[in-house]
Amino acid sequence: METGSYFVWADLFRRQKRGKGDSLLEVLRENVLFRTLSEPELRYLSTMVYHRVYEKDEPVFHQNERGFGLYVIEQGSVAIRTATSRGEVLVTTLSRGSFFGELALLEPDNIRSASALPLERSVLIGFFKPDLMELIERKPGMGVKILLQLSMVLGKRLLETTERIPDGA
Amino acid sequence: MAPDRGLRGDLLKLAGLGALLASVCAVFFLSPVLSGPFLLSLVASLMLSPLVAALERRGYSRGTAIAAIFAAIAAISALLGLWAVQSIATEWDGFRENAPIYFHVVLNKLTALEEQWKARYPFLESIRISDSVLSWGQQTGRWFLAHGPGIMGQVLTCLLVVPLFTFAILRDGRAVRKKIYEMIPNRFFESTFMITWRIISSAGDYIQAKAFEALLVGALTALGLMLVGAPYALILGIIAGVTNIVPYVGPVIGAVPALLVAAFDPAQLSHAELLWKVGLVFLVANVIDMAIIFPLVVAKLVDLHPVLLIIAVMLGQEYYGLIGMLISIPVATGLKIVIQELRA
Repeated sequence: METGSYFVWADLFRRQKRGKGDSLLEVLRENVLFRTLSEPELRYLSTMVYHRVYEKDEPVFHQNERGFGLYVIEQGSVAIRTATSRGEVLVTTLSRGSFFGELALLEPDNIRSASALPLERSVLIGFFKPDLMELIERKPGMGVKILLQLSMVLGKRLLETTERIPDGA
Repeated sequence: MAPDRGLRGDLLKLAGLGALLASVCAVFFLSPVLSGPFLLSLVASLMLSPLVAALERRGYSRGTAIAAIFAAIAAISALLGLWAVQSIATEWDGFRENAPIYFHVVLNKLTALEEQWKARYPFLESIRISDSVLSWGQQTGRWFLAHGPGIMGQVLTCLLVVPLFTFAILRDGRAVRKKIYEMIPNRFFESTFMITWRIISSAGDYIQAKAFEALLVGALTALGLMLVGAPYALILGIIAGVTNIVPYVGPVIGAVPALLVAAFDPAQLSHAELLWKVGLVFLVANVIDMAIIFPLVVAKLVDLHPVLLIIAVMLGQEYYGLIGMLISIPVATGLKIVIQELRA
């Protein structure tokens, strides 16, 4: 049985609950952007990211809004939708481990190109531009690893998009 | 269009968080015992932050980097600081002893001048400048006698509390900020995060640049005054550095005490010679400041209309004195950022 300590300092210095921290580290470790980071680097990163809990249909962001960072799905699933002249189109559905909104980390005045809407209660990990800049300043090695992975992902997506364009278009 | 669920609740939550933060800030800023040391610690932590980052880049953990910097500061203070404190204390003792002599020299010259003018223009008979100066001098002397121990007490408290606050801000500042951000409702999170980040980084850059400028101008002035053989070079250098924080009029205010000392120092054989030498030191220091230091380190960071800048500085001085003058411009810039973001 856990003994209830009501001494104020006991609470202040208590370590983070194991389950929550472990799950966060696991999601970060599995993510392609952070895969090349070492364990201490992952732990450092985990102090910089933000846990956000979204209810079903509570928008993470809307299309055409200014954006400042990316989100990694720790729990739940998120629909990415975009408004076109023919109405709203479902671009993709993302689940645990996937990430979205990464362009906001690089573009100076990023405008979100799609909306993100949780399909169920979802826990997201937010990683924002100011924190990436701080990381590059304080831990350049870590910053380079993340940026390299990010470039790789963007390159791959560009290639996929180019391949979809029919010849002569 | 779908009804915006929970907007009212989120707004209430945001307002509650704002009120909570405002009350915490009010406790710090409205109680003089805390506001002075806290603002000083804020400035000190902003100045030390690039050093911490530099050590972190070399692979040290944040805690080790902060501890190393504090140990280095303690060691430097023990060695160099002892000399500086002794020199300043000696200069201060000399100044305290000589202040009445200065005062009487000024008073005698003023009385002679007043009599000369009254003989020439009888309608000035009713004006008694030297009497007013004498009573002001007596009042100031009494104020220093009454408040001297209190000021020393505040300085000692600052010496103990400021390093503690600075350590806490450097070590836990980011974690505290993160906790606050986590309380912001989802819909306002990204915009609030970005606005506060822009405010914090612009305020930090400005205070760092201004403090660096004050340090350089103070050191240049003290060095120059030492070279020309002016008395109280260290104290006058510190005054020049501190007053440099005030835009536009600061350098002029900073030069006044040095010029007065040069003009009325009883130990000097030729006041005129020392006066132009001291004037030249301030001119050179300010030309270096205006031509090199200011354009390189400060100018790019201030994007406010000169009238707004002066109003901000006056309000800062009114409420928090010198520190108020230093933080007034970042606060005004912060308000400008909020307005810009709300209009975007």
